[in-house]
Amino acid sequence: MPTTVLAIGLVLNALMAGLYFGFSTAVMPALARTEDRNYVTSMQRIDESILNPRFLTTFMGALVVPIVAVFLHLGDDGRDRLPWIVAGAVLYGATIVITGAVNIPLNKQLRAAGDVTDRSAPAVRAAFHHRWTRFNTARTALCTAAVVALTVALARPMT
Amino acid sequence: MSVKRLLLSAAATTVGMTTGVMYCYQTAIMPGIGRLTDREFIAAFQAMDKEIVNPVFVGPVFLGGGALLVAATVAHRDEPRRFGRLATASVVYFAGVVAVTMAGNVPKNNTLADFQVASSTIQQAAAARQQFDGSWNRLHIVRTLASVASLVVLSIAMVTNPRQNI
Repeated sequence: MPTTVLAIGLVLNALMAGLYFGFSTAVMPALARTEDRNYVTSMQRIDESILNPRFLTTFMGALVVPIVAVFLHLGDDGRDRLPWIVAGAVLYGATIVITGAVNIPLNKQLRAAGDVTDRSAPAVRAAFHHRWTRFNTARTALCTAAVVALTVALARPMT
Repeated sequence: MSVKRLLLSAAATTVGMTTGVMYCYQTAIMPGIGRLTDREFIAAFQAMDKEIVNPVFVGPVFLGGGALLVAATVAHRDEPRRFGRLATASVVYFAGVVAVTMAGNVPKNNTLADFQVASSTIQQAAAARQQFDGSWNRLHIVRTLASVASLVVLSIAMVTNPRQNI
């Protein structure tokens, strides 16, 4: 049971790390090269699409499941794994804080801009792009570190 | 940390990242740009395709995941139960993710990359998108599911008791 929960936590964190990495390595550099209106519209549509139940379950599950795993490893037999699981949960927790403090407010601002014109798009883009991208890079790094911590935990046997 | 454990962790991290990138396309990118007009859709996909073929993703993550899986499999050849599971994860990854990408998605990406959005008519863009969209997404579901399956089997291999045989 503790092992299964930890493995599920790892898979969920891997999905999130790769998702952030996908934005860092493909989506944002690509949008950066498109013209302003296309940039804003594309990001608005992606933002609308990502707010789906499956994604939100992954997003929250990647925090909740490792926390449950922490509790399941509090006994003596889990002590080799425990610090690594705690590290994973804290690192992922930091990505949620960043998301809530930076990325979600920027997404809301982008949504509020509605249908942009060629004239209004540059300002909307300028207020969004650099800050969102910078903090997404931070999420990618933190979440990847969480995945590493959880794989290290999983590779250690229960004693 | 032993070499075996290091290989397992490194394989899980890289295969995990690949899986997440597949999931990113599945749950955010394709549904998102799928709602753009034909020309916007093609321009957005072309731009992303150009960017994702970069040394970090293609090297250590996408191919690195496969290489580390194989290395982890070979390293566990003296543990039949783990070996079998790691071999399964490797086969699923190479067949369902790498081969589908090379034989399915990449040729479609290349065809779309040649399409000139700026000089195209609305009808030409609609036709190019129709040629691409549905079949690309079908192939992509295979990659997403295969990468998740590979990661799950790899996780099971990681927690398989090394002393257990068959």
